[in-house]
This record gives sequence, structure tokens and C-alpha cells, in this order.
Amino acid sequence: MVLAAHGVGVRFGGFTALQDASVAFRRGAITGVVGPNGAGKSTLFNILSGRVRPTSGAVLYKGEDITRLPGHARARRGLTRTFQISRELGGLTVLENLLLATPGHPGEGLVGGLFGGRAARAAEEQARVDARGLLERVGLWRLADASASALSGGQKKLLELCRALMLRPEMILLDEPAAGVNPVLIGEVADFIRVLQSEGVSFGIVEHNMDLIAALCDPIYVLAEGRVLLEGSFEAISANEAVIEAYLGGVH
Amino acid sequence: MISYLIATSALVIIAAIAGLALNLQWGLGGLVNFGLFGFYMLGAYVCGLFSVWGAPPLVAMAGAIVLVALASAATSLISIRLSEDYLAIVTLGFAECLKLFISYEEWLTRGTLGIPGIVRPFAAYVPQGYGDAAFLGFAVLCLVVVFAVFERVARSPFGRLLRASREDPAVADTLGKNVLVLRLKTFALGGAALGIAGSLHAFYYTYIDPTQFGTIITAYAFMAVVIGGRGSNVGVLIASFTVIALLEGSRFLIDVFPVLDGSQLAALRLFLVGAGLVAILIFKPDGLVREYRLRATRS
Repeated sequence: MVLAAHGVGVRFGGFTALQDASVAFRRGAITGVVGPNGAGKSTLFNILSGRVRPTSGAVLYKGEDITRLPGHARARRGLTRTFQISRELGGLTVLENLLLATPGHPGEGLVGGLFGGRAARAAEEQARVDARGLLERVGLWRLADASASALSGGQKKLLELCRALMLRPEMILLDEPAAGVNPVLIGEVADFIRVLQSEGVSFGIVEHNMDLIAALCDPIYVLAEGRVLLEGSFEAISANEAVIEAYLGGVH
Repeated sequence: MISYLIATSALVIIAAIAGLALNLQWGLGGLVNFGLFGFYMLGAYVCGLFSVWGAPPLVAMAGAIVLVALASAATSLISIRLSEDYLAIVTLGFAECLKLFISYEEWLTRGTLGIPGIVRPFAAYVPQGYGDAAFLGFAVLCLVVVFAVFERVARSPFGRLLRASREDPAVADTLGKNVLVLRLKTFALGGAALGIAGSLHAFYYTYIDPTQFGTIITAYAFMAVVIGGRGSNVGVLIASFTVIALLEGSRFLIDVFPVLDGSQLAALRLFLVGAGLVAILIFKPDGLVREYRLRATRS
């Protein structure tokens, strides 16, 4: 188990967004989270990544209680995320987006940035090599100097994924990696995720695209109205009456 | 004429340093500092007070740099839980409170009487009559140092992180960056430059009182950054000179149009300056110079 939520709940005023939800992300697995709009999927990811603090329950990462740890500290431990709507940094080039994610870059301190010692230069050199390798893998190197805002929807998703990978993470939470991506590129994104899985990265995916979920995820959690309805393989959940009623009924 | 040019140049340089400070905080970092004049005023007063208490000018200036940097850092901390628009309000509030404090706490600041007799750096070594020229040289040196430091910061990984946190602090957070600490450092570094600008103000006039400081100083700094191009230090330099050149250069219109009397010209000057600024923003909506971007595939 690399990441787990134990009975987490969160209330926004009088509205209960998530109640007593327990999910577990197995090491090396791609775990899916599905459910109708408003089921609490994004809230769950926000709790896991440290953007929202739960009102009850606990989050465990590699056996450590990280419930009260801020997002940047989680990222430094190897737990990061991407966003439902691509959040590329348009004020930076594609390459700069990746270089930014270099963990523990000595040039990012004020002193290191100003005097640019040997450690800072070496880190920058290494980061460029790593970033180039990643961008070449996803075919974005030729756009390295372009503004990140000039990319297409699918390219932005790949950019975000590469940026997260610069952290050398153990666990990545992907919030709708197929949203706003053209169907051809969805396959490319899925292939890339599977390759990364084989390299040892664990994933959690929130997604509405059932083909992608079926192709990648096992196990899958179904959320509805802020609760975990059940957990199982794609075959198991798509055969379940309660799930069909809550969610898949509207799709099939 | 020479002394007029020296005086104008000194003011341009002080405004340029304030502009560079705002460019770091707001241009690159996205931190709206509406209270810029307050930090500038704090710098002038710390320098002035230390000076009249007997500290050597450079020591007084160093004190101003350190204290304004600390005050800036503290102000940015107050806004931990506030979103960005509120930082503008907090900084403006800080500046106005400080101005009231300085105006009424006469035991410390002599209130509206002001502080006379501030000693300029190296005054003892400058021959009679060359005081302003020597000051200008010192101010240019300060500008060069601030520009060099800020330009280096802008091109460093620190500057890249700063731009990223301006675009989307949540992304920087998911990439393991502590945005709060980053903003604290940025505000402090910008504050240090404002301490320099304020000290130069005190040295230049050798007398300071609260009426010399107002939101117009903040406005000039924002003008320099907007016209120069957000994030570009070179742009801020050019814009500082452009704004003052428009303001001061239009004085000489009276030689070209002798039919105008003084009051007509005064009104026309402001009109021309406004029109000039609008024209720049129509033809160069992103400012005169673009901010730094890495170019990797070319090198």
C-alpha cells in the first residue's frame, strides 16, 4: 500500500462533500476512482494531495500519517498530482515548465540563484538532460522553447505528466487525464501511463472516460454522493446493480 | 541647465530603483504592492533618523535596507491566509498607517516638522559645489548594483520559480515548492531595494517630511513596470526614463509654442504625458520589453 485514506470526510459549511471514505492505492497499481458529478472524487484527490484538509479521518503515505502535511511537503516525499483542467504555466516555456519541477534545486534559493554556485549549475545541467529525455519521449522536444499556453489540450496533459515526473514521484494522482484531449491522443496518454507503471510509478486516476478506466485501472472505486459505494475490477463494478443505478445507468 | 539635468537624473534613478523593486515583487512574483510608498518612506526615515543620530551615511543606509526588508517580510507574512487582492489592501494599509505614525509620533520622527540636516555619503570628500554631481554618481552606482542583482535573480532558477508562482501558485505547490517562503524572500528582497531608494531620497533632499511621500510614488512605480513590460528589468529602466522624459521634456514646449502662457502649458503637459502613456500602451500593450524566457534549443 503506497497511499491510503481512512474514513476521510469533509464538510463545506452545511454541505458534506465526502463522508467516511476509505480508499487504498496499491503500490505499482493504477487505481481508478469513478462516480457521477458531485460524487466527491475531486474532493478526495484534493484531500490526498493536501489542498483540502479533511474534517475527519486520516491520510497515510508509505505508512506515514500525512493528514496535516501541506501539499509541497507531500510533493517532496514523492506524492504529486495533475489537475482536471490543465494548469500549464503559460508564462514559462515548455522546457521551463519541466525544469521548474526539479526537486531540491539549489539555484532556487536566493543565495543559490544570485551567486549560482557549482551545485546550482550542475543541478540545472542535470535537469536539462532529464527534461530533454522526457520531452523526447512524448514528442514535445521540438516545442521546448514555445510558451506552454501554445500547446493543444492533449499536449498540455502530456506536459503536466512530464512535469510531475521530473519530481521522480512514487505516486501520481491524475485528475481526468483524458478531459479535453482528442481521441487519438487519449491512446497516447494511456500508453504513456502504462509504460510509467511498468517503470514502477503508482497511479490514482479520476476519469469519466470509461474506455480509459477499463483499459488501465484495477481496482476501481465507485463514489456516489460523497461515499464509497464499492471497490472492484471493471467487470465487477459494471455488473453491480447499485453502480448501474447510481452511475452507469446513465451511460449504457 | 547642468544642475537641472543632474536633479532630474537623480530623481529618475531613484524612481527606477523603486520601479525595479516593484518589478520583482509584482512584475515577476505577482504580489501586488500598493503600499510601495510606505516602504520607501520607511527607508527614507530610517536612513534620515540614523543619520541625524550620528550614524555615518552608509551605516544609516544599511540600517534602512535591513529594516525595510524585515518590514516587507513581516507584511507579506500577515497575508498568509489572505488571497492576492487582499495583499494589495494590507500593503496599502501598512503604508497609510506608517504615514500617520510618522506624522504624529513627534518624539521619534519630529512629525510634520520633518528631519533636516541629513548627511550625504562621502560628503566630506566632495569639493564645494559638486555635492549634487557626487550624489548622482553614488545613485548611479546604487542603480547599477540593484539592476545587476535583480537581472541575475530574474534569469536564475529562483526567477523561474517566481514566474511560476505568479502564474499558478497551486501548481508550484504540487511540485514541492513552498510558495509562502518564496513570497517572503521576494518581498524582503524588493524591500531591500526600496530601502535603497528611500535612503537615496533622504540623501538627495537632505530634509524629509511626511508630505514628500504619497501614493504618487507607488503610481510612478506601477507606470514604469506596466510600460516597461511586466517582468523586464531593462523595460523598467527604459520606462522610468521615458515617464520622466515626458514629464520634464514637455516643460520646454514653451520655447516651441510661445503663444501659450504658463498655466495653459501646465495643463497641456499633463495631457500630453497621459496621451503619451496611452499611446505606448496601444502600440505596445505588453510593454516595451518582454520578460526573460529560456532559449534552449538555439544554444
